[in-house]
Formats: sequence, structure tokens, C-alpha cells
Amino acid sequence: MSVSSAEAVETASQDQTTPPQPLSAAPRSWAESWPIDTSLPRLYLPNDTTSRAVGAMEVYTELMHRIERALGATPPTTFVGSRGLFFLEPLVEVELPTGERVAYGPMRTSMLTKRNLELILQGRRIAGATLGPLAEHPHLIGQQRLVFGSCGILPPNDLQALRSQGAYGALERALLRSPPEVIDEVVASGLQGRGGAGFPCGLKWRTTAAAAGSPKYIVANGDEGDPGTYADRMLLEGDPHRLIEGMAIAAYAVGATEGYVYIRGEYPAAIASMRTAITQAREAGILGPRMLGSGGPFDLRVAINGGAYICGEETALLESIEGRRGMVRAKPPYPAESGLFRKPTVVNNVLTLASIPWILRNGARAWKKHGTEGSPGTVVLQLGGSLRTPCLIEVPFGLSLREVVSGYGGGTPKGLKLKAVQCGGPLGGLLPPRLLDTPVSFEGLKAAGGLLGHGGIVVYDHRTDMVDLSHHFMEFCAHESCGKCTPCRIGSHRAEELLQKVLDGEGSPEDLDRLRELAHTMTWASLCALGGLAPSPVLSALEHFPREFEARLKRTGGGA
Amino acid sequence: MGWEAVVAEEASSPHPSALAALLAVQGRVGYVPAEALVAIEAQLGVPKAELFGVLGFYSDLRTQPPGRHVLRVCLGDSCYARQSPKVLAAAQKALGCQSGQTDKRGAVTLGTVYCLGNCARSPSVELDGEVIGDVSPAKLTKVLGGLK
Repeated sequence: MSVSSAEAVETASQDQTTPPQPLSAAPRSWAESWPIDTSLPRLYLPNDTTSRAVGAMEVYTELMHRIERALGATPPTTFVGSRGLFFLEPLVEVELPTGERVAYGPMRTSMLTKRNLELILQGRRIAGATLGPLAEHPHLIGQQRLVFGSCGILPPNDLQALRSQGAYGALERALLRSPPEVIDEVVASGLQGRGGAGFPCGLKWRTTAAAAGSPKYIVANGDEGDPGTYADRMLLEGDPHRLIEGMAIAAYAVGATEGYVYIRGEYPAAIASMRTAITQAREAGILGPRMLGSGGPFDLRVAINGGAYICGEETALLESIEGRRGMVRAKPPYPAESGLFRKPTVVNNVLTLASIPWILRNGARAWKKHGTEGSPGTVVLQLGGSLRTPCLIEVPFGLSLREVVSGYGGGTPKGLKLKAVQCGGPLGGLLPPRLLDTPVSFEGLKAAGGLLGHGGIVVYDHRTDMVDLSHHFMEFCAHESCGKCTPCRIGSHRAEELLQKVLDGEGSPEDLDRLRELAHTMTWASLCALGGLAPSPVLSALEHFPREFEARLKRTGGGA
Repeated sequence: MGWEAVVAEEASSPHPSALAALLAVQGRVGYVPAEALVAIEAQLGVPKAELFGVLGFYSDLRTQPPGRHVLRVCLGDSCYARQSPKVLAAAQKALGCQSGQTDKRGAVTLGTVYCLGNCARSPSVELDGEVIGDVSPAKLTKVLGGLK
């Protein structure tokens, strides 16, 4: 639950016995006394954090009130996660007698006239918000939703509905094979870690399977700390059972009996949704003493971060689950051999584990048909910043950055000019417009000086001051450094101060040299990727926008 | 359930965690009172010195009661690209306090956060645990004016 939220505190003290309410269940303001007329078409309502953040609940409540007033009853409703087309939220989908779903969005309460309500309930056009069937929406047509296939379509906490659509079918099949066979399938798929490092998932599993020590653990890293990323959040809220299924398969493959889903405190709805799903999986016998009645014991718990970016680094994350400061551990030993409580532990990103069910159901070969040679499968990109239609997309690796930013992202809003694209979050790089033909893949972005990272893509327009942005990055690193190693702990502060000096118009050319030197030291001498990569966006700003820095240097003395 | 019960609950879990206990206490009463540290030390066997270390490390934890509302302005990269420094400035002006402080009326504690995961509809703020998207300085000033 949100640790700094006064409302969460209030809710908690009112609910003395029940666990935190799943936000994906009907919110309190929805009167249960409303009569439901099942002859009316069912409404599907996204209940994702971003939907609510732009007023979805107000729109839904008003919609139901008005239908009730007009017809004396309300249609049946189902809350779902988001499809990721966030620029269309608040969104309402109506299920026609044919089974087809017709979407309306972005909806405003002013659109809810009596005439429009009649049209909506028949799936007919209304002015300004008719989208038709979403599957045919231009934003979804080109996508390949392998991991996010159910998100926004199926209700996240209706286990029966999910199972009727194939959820946990991959686990059932995996349990019929031997653990080494399951690992071989994952190795063959070439699935790389989706957290940022891109390490081959199957090799990690193989190491843990062979490691001595018991019990073994599976840890899902849902500490989605990279600013500009939100895929884990969307999946945890919108399809948590897919993650549980992936973790259960991993547990069977490596012989683990316990698991943790580590989620950042900034995601209270994801935490609630995940907890509900775990309880459901336990009650259904999927988790527990015998997985699905035939597997070994496996159970899951949720652990929560308290607002520390570094805990997304796997060893700091393990320290955090154990209850301590999130200080990075020296590697080796790697967590695969000595991880949580010093036992063999698989630490995988949420998206990595959520990819497993599809791979086990359809086979490694089918997975490899998507993507590129060096980056098989699909990539989940999260678009943000100065764009007209920011959204989450799941596409094959290899599209160009231009197709992503100008196509799916819709380009910059009217009157704003694209200045730089940040790939890979605070540890990635800034790419200027001339590099927009770079292919989006692990190898493509790396070659261009960016990073795929967790798939966050943030667009900056011409209003962005690159010196100020660089300062922003270094301030972030200084704030989030765990303090264990000197290059990162001290270096980030010194770099932040140097950039502040330049911002203040007091900088000299030597200061920029010092900044580069400092970045070099941090890159090569830091213990983990935070200190090692945090200078990257600053270095890329210096490389691609040198004049902005030079223009800010002190005019007097040797500054010529 | 007060904070005493959540400490006891964490202490009886299979792998008791000081961080989980501190977060649970704050979840109940809004902050970590000094007495709770004594209880966690006694029941989880974690020395107080280590508890202070944990308290200082995780930026969500606080040892003082917050105002009646908690506002956090997102400083994530997408929000930054969409002018979030102006949103923060508007909050500081409306509340007359800096990040980390509570306004004079005791109504709102102001903080910042690096990313709320609402990047597609940024800039964002979080008010009492609920995210508000598409925020402008004017919209936020209006929201803050309505808080008691």
C-alpha cells in the first residue's frame, strides 16, 4: 500500500480485518443497490491507475447514474486493466450481442446526453468519441500482443474467466515435461531479461537449477524505478495471473519453493491487484503445497520498496526484501547461486517472467519468429514526454525509433519541435533527431549510444534546456545512490555541483573537462550499473548538444 | 488495528523484515513513531541503530506525522519533459513551503517523487495516494485551494 498516503491510512483504519481492497474491484462509490438489467449490453471499464488519474471513475459513475435514471436499471459491468492506449482514456467499451466490443473515448461527462446514452448502449456512433472495435484501431493493428494479450481485455481478478481463455494452461503443460526440458525451451527461445541488462533468462535458470542449497527462490523484480516506464505497473494491475504463472513455471524448472513479487511503493494499485491474485491462486490450488495438484510446493508473497531507486538492482533488491538498507552486494557470487537469504535465487523482471507462459504455450521457435537475430521476441515500449499519443506498445524488435515516436507516439504536439529522444531511462542516452532511424533493439540502441533498458522512451521538445536536463539527471543519481561505493556516492554529487555551476553561468571549459573525467571514473569504477551508467545521459547531452553547454560558460577570462 | 498489531504480525511471518514492519506501521498511522522502533527492536530483534539506517535510506519513511494531506509532485523524466518543474513551483507557491515541509495550516505535506508510472498522461502528482494526471500549475493550484 502507498506508504505516504493519508488516504491509505484512513482506509486501513476503517478496514480492521480485511486486507487492502483490490482497486480492480468496484470502488466504494458504486452503489451495490443499483438494479442490474442483464439484458443490457455489458460495459467494460478500464480501472488502471492512469485511467483513474484522468477522471475515469467520475465518468463511469456519471454514466451509470444517468443510465439508471433513464432506464431504471444499470447494465452489467466488468472492470479491466488498460489496453495501453492511454491517450484514449477515459475509455468505455460496450459488448454487442454479437460479442464484439465497441469502444468510446476519450469520454467526458458532458458527452453523456440522453441521446448519446441510447446510442452507446446500441454500439452506434456518437460525436467526438467513437473508436469502433479496438482490435481494428490503427494503434493496435501493427502490434503483437504476446505478453500483453489479455491486458485491458480480460478482467484481472476473475480467475475463472482467465482460465477459460487459457491462463495457467502453460503451467499445466510445463508440469508434464521434465524441469530440464522446460529450461531448454526457455534457453532456445533466446529470451533476454527485460529489466535492462538483457541477460539470457534460460542461462540464469540453468545456473540456479544446478546450484546447491535449499530452499531456492524466485523473485519477480517489479521495482519499476526507471522514470518513464510503466509496463510492469500496467501488467501487475491488468494481468497479475500471467506473472504468477510465469513464476510458477520458473519455480518448477529450477526447483524453487518460495517466491517474492517485489513492487515499488509508488504502485499501490499494483500491490493490491497482485495480492488479490496470489490469494485467488492459492485458493484455486495453483499455488500451495502442490502446484495444480501435481507439481511441487510453491507459494508467493509481496514485498514492497520504500522509495529507493537502487532497489531495482538485483542485489540491493534482495537486501531490501531481507528488510535492510538497499545496499548493493559485490558480485560474484551471483544471486543465481547465492541470493535471497544466501540461497540460490532467480531474479527476473516482471516482463521477463510474464513472457514465459506464451513461450511455453507456443514454443521457442514461435517466439523467435518475432524480433531480430540478436533480440528475439517482442519488446514492450512505454512512450512518454512531449508526444501527441503517448501509449504502451508491444511490437517486434527492430522497428525504427522514428516509427515508434512519430507513428505510435504521434510525434510532438502542435507547435513543438522534437529535440531529443531518451532511451533507457536515467541510465540510457539522449539521441538527437538525426539518429531517429536507429532500430529499437538491444544491439541497435546500444550502437547508437542509447540503451533499451526497460523500454522507456521519453521525448523532449525544443523547450528543453539540455544543461538543466543534465543537472536533473545528476541530481537523480545523487539522490538515489546507495552510498556503498565512492565513485557513485561522491561522484554524482560533484557532477551535480559542476552542472549547477554551469547553470549559474559560473562554469569554465575546465569544468566541462572535469565533468567528463568524473563521468569516466564513475563509468569504470562504480560497483553497479547506477554509478556506471548514470553519467551516460549527461555524456550524450555533451556530445550531441555541446553548444548549449558552451553558451552557458562564464564569458570572462579564458573561456574563449 | 493499531501499529502494535502490524508489528506483531510481521514478527510472526516466516521471514520478518524490518523494512516491511516500518512500512506497515506508517501505513497504519501515517509515520513511524519512536515507540514503534522500540517494539520492532524487541519483537524482530533488529537493533535500533540498524532501524535508523533503514529509516534514513528509504525516502518514503518518515518519523514525524504528516499534514492532513500528502502531495507528491512527480519529477520523473516524462513529467520533466512536460514542464513538471513549473508544477512543483506552483505547489511551493500555493502552500508557502518547500519539498519535505508541511504548510503553516498543517493541511498539506509537500514532497517529490521520481516517477509515478503515469508517464502517458504527465505531468502527474499524487494526492493522498491517488494519482492525478494531465496536471497544470493552474489545475494544481485549484485542487490545493479546495483542501482543508
